[in-house]
Amino acid sequence: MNISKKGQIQSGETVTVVIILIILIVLGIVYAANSKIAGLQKDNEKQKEIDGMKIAVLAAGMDELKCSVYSAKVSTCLDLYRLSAFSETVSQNLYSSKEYYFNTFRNSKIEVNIIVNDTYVENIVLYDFNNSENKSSSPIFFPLTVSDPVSKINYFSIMEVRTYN
Amino acid sequence: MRPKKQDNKGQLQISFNWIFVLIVGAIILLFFITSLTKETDSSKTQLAQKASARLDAVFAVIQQNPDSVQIHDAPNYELDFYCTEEGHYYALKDSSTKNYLENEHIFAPETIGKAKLVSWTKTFSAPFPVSSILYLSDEKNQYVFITADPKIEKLYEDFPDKFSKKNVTSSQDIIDEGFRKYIIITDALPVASNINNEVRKKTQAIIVVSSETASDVYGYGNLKYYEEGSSTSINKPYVGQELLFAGIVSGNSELYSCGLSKVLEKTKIVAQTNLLRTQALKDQYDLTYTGRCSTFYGLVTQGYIQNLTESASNFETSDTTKNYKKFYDSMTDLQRVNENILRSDCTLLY
Repeated sequence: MNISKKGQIQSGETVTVVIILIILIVLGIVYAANSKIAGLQKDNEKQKEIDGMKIAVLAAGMDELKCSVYSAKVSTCLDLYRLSAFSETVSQNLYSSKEYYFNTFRNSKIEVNIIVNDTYVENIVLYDFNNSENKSSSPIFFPLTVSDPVSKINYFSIMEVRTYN
Repeated sequence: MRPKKQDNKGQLQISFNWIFVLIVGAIILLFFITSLTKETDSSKTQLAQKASARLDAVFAVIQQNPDSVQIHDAPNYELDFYCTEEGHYYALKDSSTKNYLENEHIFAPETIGKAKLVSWTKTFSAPFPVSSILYLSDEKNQYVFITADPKIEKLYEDFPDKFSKKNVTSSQDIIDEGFRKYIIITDALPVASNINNEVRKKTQAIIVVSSETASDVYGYGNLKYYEEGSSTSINKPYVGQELLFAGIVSGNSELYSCGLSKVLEKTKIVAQTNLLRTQALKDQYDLTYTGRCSTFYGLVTQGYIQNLTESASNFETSDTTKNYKKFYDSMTDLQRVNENILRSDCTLLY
């Protein structure tokens, strides 16, 4: 009888050790997963900002928006008439332009705000597409010059980019 | 002597301990095996990602340096370029990861890598700037120009020195210098038996440049590709210097065609943007300025850009009219109007 009890106690000890081991492993996995998720969320935010910057640089450097060769020699100069024409082409998806630019800009919104005396006088939405459920990122602001080729006036402007990826 | 019942219980307990050790051991072993397999898979993916990131960096640098030729360090892997029904993409040799070149206008031969990369950018204009074209090759692909014809000599001179290039006066002078592939550019198909056997085996394509503009090789014409020893050619049209060099650098009719169709798609979109812009300029000048400028803009909105767009849509098809010629003519018309606009002090088209 005594020996049988001893055996039972020893088996019980082993089972307890196994259970504790399993609990420790589960706790470890949960902790590691939580740390990983927090890290991923941080990386995701950072990536969104980098994506926004990339899009702003790409959009500001597009040949189809640049000022004419003989126009103002400023570093980032976009033509006002080209901006409006581009906006119309993409919003109406002419020649599948929206699909074309989706390959570059993905889910994002790009707009140019023309500023006169610290006031936004004109807003041109160049591209706006979002087929995801994601909320937009914080906006990225990119300064540039918009030139009116008829009146030959240059305006200080801000390109605003939001990503939804 | 122990009783039999007690002996059985002891045995049961020893067996239980062994089973426990075996199960835990198996789990630990399985964990390490899975980790190792995942690590191997992930290192392959990482290499593909590194290659992709590196090329992306090259593209980004190049975009900031238009009209430049650059040499880049040799990657320790090879990349194959493909143009299939799935699209235009590149992949690491023996890797299944495909990197699609959706909007990138890149013209490269079938294989590059394990040698210094050479990149060259040019802006394609029609005649307004459309996009930056990237020509990408490496030091192991040699471009051999048979310069018996002055037009081919002109191509040889304009082709950047940083690419592996060579000029010979006859096909018999081409010798194998240990390059991976040879792309031969000529004005007439050489007799196959005249080409050195080793060179013939390594020839990716013989490209016969058939220019249809008398004075200028960069006007418009056809590129006839004789690929991998084939005696039949595949014809592909070109217009202007940028597309002609695109066809040469690719050294493959399909890769050229893939890049070409993307450039033309972009041309149509940019043409549409310019059409709307010119219409807006016309409306503005109609309201506030003399009619002289409006006349120029009217020419553009009433035909020239539409002609350009139509011919871009059917660039590779030649029915009664050669669409590539129509494309060239529309470009020339737009250039002429822009020059007149410049002289008349109106707002330029581009």
